[in-house]
Amino acid sequence: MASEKSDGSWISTRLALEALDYAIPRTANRWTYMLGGLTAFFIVILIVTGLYLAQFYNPNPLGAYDSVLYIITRAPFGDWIRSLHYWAAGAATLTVTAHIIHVFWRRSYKKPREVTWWAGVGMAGLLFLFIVTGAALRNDQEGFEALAHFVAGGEMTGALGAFFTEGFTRSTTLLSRIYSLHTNLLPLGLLALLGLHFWLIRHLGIHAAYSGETSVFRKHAVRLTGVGLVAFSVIGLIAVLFPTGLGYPAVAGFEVTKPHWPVLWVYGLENLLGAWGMVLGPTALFAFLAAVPLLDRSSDDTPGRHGWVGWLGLALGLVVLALWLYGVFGPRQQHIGM
Amino acid sequence: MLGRTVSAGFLLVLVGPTALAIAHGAVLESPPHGAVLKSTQSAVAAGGILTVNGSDFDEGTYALRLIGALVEFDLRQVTPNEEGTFALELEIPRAVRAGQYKLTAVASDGHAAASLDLTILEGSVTNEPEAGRDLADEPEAGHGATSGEMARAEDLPIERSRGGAEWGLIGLLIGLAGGLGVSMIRRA
Repeated sequence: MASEKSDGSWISTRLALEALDYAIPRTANRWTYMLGGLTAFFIVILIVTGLYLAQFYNPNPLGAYDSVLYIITRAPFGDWIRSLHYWAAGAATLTVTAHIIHVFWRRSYKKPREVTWWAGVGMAGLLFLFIVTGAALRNDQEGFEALAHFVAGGEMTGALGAFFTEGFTRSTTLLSRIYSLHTNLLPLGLLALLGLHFWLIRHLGIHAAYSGETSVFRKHAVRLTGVGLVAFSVIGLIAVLFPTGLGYPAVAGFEVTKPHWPVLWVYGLENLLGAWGMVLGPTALFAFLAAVPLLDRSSDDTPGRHGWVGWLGLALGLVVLALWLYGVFGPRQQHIGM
Repeated sequence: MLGRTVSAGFLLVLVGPTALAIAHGAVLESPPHGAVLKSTQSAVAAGGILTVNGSDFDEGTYALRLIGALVEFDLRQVTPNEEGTFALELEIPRAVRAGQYKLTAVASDGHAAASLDLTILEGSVTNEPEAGRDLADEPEAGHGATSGEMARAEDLPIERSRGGAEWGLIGLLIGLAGGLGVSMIRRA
């Protein structure tokens, strides 16, 4: 009993948290190896804040905009929690991007961790979909244009995109289905992939720079939780200082807004290619990421020695960055002929 | 340490939102019971006529109000007969913006006696000023775009007024999370 008190382990004993005392490379406690865990922490923030927002949001096109305004002006803590949701999504985008770059650089996708990589790429793709569907839910001018992009993209891609067209069903609205996607289907997919990702990391380990020194996972988890709480604190403060806004009510037939910053590289590509940019850009990026373990076949797994795959990855990364800058500073253009 | 963190996590994730929901529910009016408002129409155009029947009302005079998320319209007063029933035709003002509303019978003491969900469809375009009381104290709040307006890319100016208690709780949460986080990083 005394030992239980000394390490605060009443709960540890009941929840068998000792199972977390397994050895991991000491390098796992470096900041660069915490990016994935930090992203998971942001996902927890997104789920909790999303559940709260869902209590006040109305997915009916007739009531959606007013319900968002209600959340901002009248729901208790609504403005802050919505801003927290917004900033956590941005933070998750940054950490997941940095995590992918780090894992790619270290070539951690090589045998036997191909599936771990694919689960991660799948989660990054889902995060991208979370952002574009979330923007549509605002149902302001930007949200309306996002919804129109879904329809245009759905019509361009035929059967593949049928879900995003108004003709998919007469029984409910597209906004309602986007809401269902954002709050049901995407979270289910994300949690499934997250579970798979963690399972594989637990059993296959990470591809870390291993100096022979070990630590235990429980210490890593405590440190990671600490980092996550500090990150929550910082985002919470940002949400207070820079609350996210809402555009004016939508006017159909106009395309005047730019999308949320994580999607601006797609906007830049649309400026160059037209509406097909929104289909081709993300497809090319995620197809490349998914193909990386298949393309990099050398038996050597030294970080940075990818050969041509590395150069291709670097070129693609620079193109995305250039498109993003073009999206930020380039002109506003009509892409879908609303 | 991890055990305590798990406990704190449970508190934050489960108890926090639950407490907020209960607190929010506590400041709401009691849900309507007993009296019933009915209509054969679930939707009506702004400027159109809605047929409404009331039953099981207590004695007294009730205000029929159209309540949206952000605006509220006083439509008319009604006094049920001795059997607690009434039937009437309500004209929905043309200025009511399309959206989802609750038609609510409010007793003289302010409690909502009965309500029904109602969808208001877009009526003919009008220059008539909106007569509803704006609950958000926001000039644009609840005012949708009408045909002929230009789309705008910028954000709506919104008055974000928060009570001191709310700011205090948010600050406390941010401070606690930051403090606990730094402490955990140091210990680990």
